Amino acid sequence: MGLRTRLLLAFAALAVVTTTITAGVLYWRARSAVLQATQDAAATALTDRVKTLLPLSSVPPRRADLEELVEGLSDRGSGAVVLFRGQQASSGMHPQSLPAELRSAVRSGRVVWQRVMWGDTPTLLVGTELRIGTGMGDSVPSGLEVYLARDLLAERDSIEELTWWAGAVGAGSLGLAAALAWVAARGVLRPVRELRHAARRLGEGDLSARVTVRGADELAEVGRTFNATAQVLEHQVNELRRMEADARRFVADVSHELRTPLAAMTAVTDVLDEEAGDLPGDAGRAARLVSSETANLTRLVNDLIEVTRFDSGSAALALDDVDVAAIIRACLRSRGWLDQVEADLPEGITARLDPRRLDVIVANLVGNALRHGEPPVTVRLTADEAWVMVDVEDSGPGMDDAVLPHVFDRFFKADTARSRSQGSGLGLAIAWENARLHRKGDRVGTLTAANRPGGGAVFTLALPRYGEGTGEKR
Amino acid sequence: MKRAVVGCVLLLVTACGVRPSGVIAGGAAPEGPILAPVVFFLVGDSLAPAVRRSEGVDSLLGWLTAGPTMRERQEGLRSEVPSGVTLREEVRDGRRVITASVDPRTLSPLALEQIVCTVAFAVDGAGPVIIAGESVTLPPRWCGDQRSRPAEELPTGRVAPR
Repeated sequence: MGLRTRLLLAFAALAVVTTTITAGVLYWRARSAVLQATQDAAATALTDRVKTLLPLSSVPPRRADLEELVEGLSDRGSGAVVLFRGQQASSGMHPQSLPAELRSAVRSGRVVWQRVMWGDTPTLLVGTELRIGTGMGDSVPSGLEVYLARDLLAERDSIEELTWWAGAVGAGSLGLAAALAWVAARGVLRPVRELRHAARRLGEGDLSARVTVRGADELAEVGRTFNATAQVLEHQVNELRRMEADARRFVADVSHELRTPLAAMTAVTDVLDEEAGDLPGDAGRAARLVSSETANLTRLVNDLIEVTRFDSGSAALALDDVDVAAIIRACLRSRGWLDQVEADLPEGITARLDPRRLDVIVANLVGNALRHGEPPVTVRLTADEAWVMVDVEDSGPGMDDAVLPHVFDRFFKADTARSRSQGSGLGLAIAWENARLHRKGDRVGTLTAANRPGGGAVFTLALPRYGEGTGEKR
Repeated sequence: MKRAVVGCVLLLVTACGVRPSGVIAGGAAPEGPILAPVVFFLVGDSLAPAVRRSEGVDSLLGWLTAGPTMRERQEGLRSEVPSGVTLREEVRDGRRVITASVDPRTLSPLALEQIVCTVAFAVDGAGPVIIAGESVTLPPRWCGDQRSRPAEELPTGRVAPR
């Protein structure tokens, strides 16, 4: 149940209980007061009228006195009855309609009354018995019973009006309570909603997300805490990013700084290579070793520079409409792999992509397959409307399942025993980054590695067939 | 909580409108003197006055022992004072004493009440009445004495002004 519903229900319950109690008690008291006033007035009218007979001159009273009493009483109500032993005089009502319990209660020496329903008419019956006394405390009933009936229609109307008002006040206060609950719920829910939005933005990476803090209540305290947390988080993440950028810049700087001396060293080793054949024994081997290691170092530095370009986001595509098969064939031919690789390259597949980067990817994949897998190595080109796919398969033992997720990591070596290999350890990582550079809308180029069911590894390159000329920006 | 709600609803429903009630007792019934001489007989178990054209206590006591007339009997009057008894007013030691010809302890309480009230109403300022026999004297009694009779139990309402 939502906060809003709970608040509404709580306020409504409060209103119902309070109104019921207040209106109920007031209604009950007012009703009692109305009836009490009527009963008291009727009783007073009855006793006042009966007292006009006093002092009593005879028992039984003269018939004329009784008639006069009944007439006088029925003026004040809707009916009257006078009973004396066997005699009776009545007006407006029948003596038989008096309840037996009222008649027996009259003999108690008190003025008594009772409300009865005559048909649909609520009626108040007041009765008493005239007593005679000596004035010395002696008091005996005279046998003269007098009853007065008075309808309570006016009282019923005013009590029904009271009922209507109690209901109206109850409904009104319920509505008012609902409105108050709505306002209160809004006051609570708005900061909660803002907090939720800010938390979501923060979770989505917008570290500048803050909430507006109003007032000094508990919710404002939560908002303040949230803001402080977000600020610390933003500061620390920025610090981490800065440090990472520093590290990358350092690698890039080092790579660039190494290029110049390496160029000089390469020139020297070129000379050494020419002279190596003339050098005797160990000197010749040393010269060849220096030459090959310098070549490895040069490749490593070039790969590092390439990687730092990806990291800094400065790698850009040079898109061109090309014949894919021709590019792959040229790649294989230039590296002398045409006779080591089974190429399945259908003609006529054109695509818009960066030919240099495709060349790098294919060279890395085929080179990797030749180095680590067993021949035959197969390169297969396929295409559909949206994608160009290149599969590079070898027939070796395949890759360990634990290795698969990491083959595109930098400097990852599947065979740890072999600490040095011809590769820089960056080839597959660079191929992966190159594949990802190609994109069209929300389609991004992918490079995946898997094991074939029959054994052997397969690397699958998928590039959007008609790429868009956007360089990757980070 | 649920019980309280049900109680409130019941209270509201039963308190609605003008409903029939039981008998409610208010203030005392109107009371006044009677000018004619009376003797007291019984209707049911309560005293009922009957007018006699007579003067003097002894004469009225005679009417009392004689019992109600035929017409009064038809109206429902009866007497518990035995018809053979004679009642006489005396003054002993300055106090008014009614002497009965029988042992007054054999008389029923209602019969004693009849005698006491007849005397009390016959004499102005009679005060308590003493009834005696040949050998016994009963304690003084008041007519219709509310103090010696338990009041009838009735629900009490607000006392109506007289």
